Amino acid sequence: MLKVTNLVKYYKRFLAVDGLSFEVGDGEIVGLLGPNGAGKTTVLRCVTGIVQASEGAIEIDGIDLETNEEEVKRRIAFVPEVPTPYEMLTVWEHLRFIAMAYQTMDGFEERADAMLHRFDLDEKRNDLVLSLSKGMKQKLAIACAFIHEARVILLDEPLIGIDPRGVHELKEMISEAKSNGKAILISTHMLDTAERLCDRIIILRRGTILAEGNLAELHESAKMGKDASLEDVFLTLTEEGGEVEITPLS
Amino acid sequence: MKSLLYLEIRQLINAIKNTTRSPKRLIPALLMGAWVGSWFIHGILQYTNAPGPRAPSLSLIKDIPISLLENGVFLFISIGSMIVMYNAFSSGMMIFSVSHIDFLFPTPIKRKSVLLMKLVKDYLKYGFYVAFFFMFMGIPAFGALNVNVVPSGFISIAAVTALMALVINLSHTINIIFTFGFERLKQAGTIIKVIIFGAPASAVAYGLYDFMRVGNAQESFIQAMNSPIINFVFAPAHWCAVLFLAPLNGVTKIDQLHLALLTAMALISFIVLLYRRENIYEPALGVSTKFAERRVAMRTGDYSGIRVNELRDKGATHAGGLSIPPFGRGAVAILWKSLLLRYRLSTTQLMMMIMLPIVLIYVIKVSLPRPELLSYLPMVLLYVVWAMSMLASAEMRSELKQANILKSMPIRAWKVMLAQAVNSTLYLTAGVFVFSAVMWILVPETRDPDPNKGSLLLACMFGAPFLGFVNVSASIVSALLYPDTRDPAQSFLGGMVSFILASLALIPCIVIVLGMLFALRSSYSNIAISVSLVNLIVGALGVALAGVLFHRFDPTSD
Ligand SMILES: Nc1ncnc2c1ncn2[C@@H]1O[C@H](COP(=O)(O)OP(=O)(O)OP(=O)(O)O)[C@@H](O)[C@H]1O
Ligand SMILES: [Mg+2]
Repeated sequence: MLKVTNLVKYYKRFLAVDGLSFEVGDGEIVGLLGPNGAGKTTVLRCVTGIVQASEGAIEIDGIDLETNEEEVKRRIAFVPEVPTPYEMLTVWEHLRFIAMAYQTMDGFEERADAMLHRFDLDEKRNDLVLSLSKGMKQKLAIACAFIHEARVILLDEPLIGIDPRGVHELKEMISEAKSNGKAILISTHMLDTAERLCDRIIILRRGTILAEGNLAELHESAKMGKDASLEDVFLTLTEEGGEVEITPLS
Repeated sequence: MKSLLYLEIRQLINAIKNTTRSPKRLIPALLMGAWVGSWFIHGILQYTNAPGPRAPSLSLIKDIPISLLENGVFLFISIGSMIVMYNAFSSGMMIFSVSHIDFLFPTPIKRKSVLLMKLVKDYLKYGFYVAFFFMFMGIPAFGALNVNVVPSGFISIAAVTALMALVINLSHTINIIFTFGFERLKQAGTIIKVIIFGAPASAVAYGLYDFMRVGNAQESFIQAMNSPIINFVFAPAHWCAVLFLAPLNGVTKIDQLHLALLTAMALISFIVLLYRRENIYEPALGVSTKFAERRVAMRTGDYSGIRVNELRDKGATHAGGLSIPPFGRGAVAILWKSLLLRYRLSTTQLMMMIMLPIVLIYVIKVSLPRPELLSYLPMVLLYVVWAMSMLASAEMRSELKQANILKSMPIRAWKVMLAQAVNSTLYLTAGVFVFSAVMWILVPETRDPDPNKGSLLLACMFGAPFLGFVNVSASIVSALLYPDTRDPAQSFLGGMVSFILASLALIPCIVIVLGMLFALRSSYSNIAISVSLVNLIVGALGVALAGVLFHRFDPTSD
């Protein structure tokens, strides 16, 4: 379980995230939506310890990031936004390096084989990453995230540039992870996917939560009917200057 | 740590394999290696043989007193350190690759291990740069002074590397502290900045005071450099400057102590940095991404890309200054666009176009050993054009970035190339005219026409642009042959091809000039007209060839 309490993030003087609190339970998929610059990537970077939270606490299964960084990181899988894998490693070596870094080398070969097969990267296993296409690099990044047994999976716009089969496999993997009791947080701009995939949705704007909940709850906070799509809800809620009632945090 | 080593070693092995596998990369790499190797051997031979008279231009250094030299080096080192430290308050220097940010930072590898690996790699890199620089510049310079660089040269290298490590450790530390304590530490930051700038200000004041009293500029400069505050604040830089000149000065006991102190300071600062508890990834984040963009632009030889990045960093949103009003249709409109962009992106380049001639001509004028040669000075124009036109291939490469747009326009390929060539040639022409004007003003000898042959200045002034046109088209052809310079080996090859083509294009000119000058004894203006006609034809052929290449150019292949 991922628990974020009162997260504040300043980049120098710029306030990117302003007092965010939320939870992602085991076996739950939460979507992180919001306009460009809302702070989605920043939240994910804080959780992975790439940047340091200015205030607030981040916990995974009760372990605190601040005091026990390595333990927390070991429990996280992260797919970065527009990943740039190491160009001078082969696909296989790349997976191997990640497995080594997370110290999960047991049964690595089988897992890596299966993963490459799933993403149609069999033929590329001994090619340098620099020869991969953009979508293949994205697939490799996803494979790297799933190569180790994480408790929490964070995906920053994972669906960009992947072919339909890759998207299908990824969704499958996310569903599997869900049924294995993992906590999953996805930042995305693809509203229809979010609508279908996620149990709960958090809408951010300027580093604060505008609304949170399942689709029905979002309809309520946007004061819209049941048949309104997530797109309508999103557009209404994120409209600048619109009167928005912020739902109380659960 | 094991996984980090795995990463580094595999990357290194793959990079080597990748180079050896393709002859296109291997051959230039070998050439480069041979070139560096020959320099190295040359350097070594220089002090095993009895040193003879060579590099006469460097004998200038002999006349400079050592204390002045020492203070010059000191000035250079301390200003460099100052700038680095000052920048550290606002932007970091710890640059990681984007792959590190994406894939290494989220892993549970200890931050300390990542930092340790990074720093050690950096120190090795600096040491290598310093040694390299010393090999290429130091050995010939000291060689010209008949000074042995072994073993004291190693002391020079060690001292500079230690100082660099110290300065960089300090600025990393400053940057980390100020990234997280931006508000809290504002005042402390201001105080440190005041000290950094106050010291040289005090030295300037001290030097000026001395100059007014005594009136000897050189002496006052040395006084200023040795003023008490400077001596205290920049002590390490001072030791380093003295140690750097060890091959000249010899090494005293005190110097040895200073070297030991420098090394100790570098070590201590390293340990302090290593044990900072803040998240070092964060300060690295912004600057690394920025740097990655810039490096891509640099590698592709995309100078306008670099400039665009700089402007963006400055927060430019509007195009300031004058603008060139739109004109033309089809290919002529492309010419307008190129002229405008060039003008907008390279104001510094335009400034150079005015400053460079003044400096260059002045230097030539005062240092030319035989003043009677001054009347032939306009010939320099030809050389300048020849050298500057090589830059056209970099421009062409950045233009090729937009090949998708250009190729989809309903304009014939050769016209697009012609617009490109004319653009570069027009800028060269402007440069030539500025140069000529400066010459006319600064060097009276160039003003009077030769009674038999006419004005050399006018002939060169109007002939040079045509020569430029030929060279520009040669450079464009080479850029089209080697459009992608992300690979250093390929860009090396591209540069060589550009050089060879430009030299080949020069042959008809040389033949005609020599023939007409000595066999026919024609006037300068007649020679210029004939050569320009030939150049026009050769240039047009070059543009036609470029058109064919551009037509076949595949913008999607990397
Ligand atoms: N390293 C940084 N330094 C300074 N400001 C930053 C940095 N990274 C992000 N920001 C700023 O923080 C804000 C939030 O950025 P973030 O990348 O988290 O947005 P996002 O929601 O992921 O946007 P997008 O949908 O475009 O990916 C933006 O205003 C951005 O300019
Ligand atoms: Mg983002």
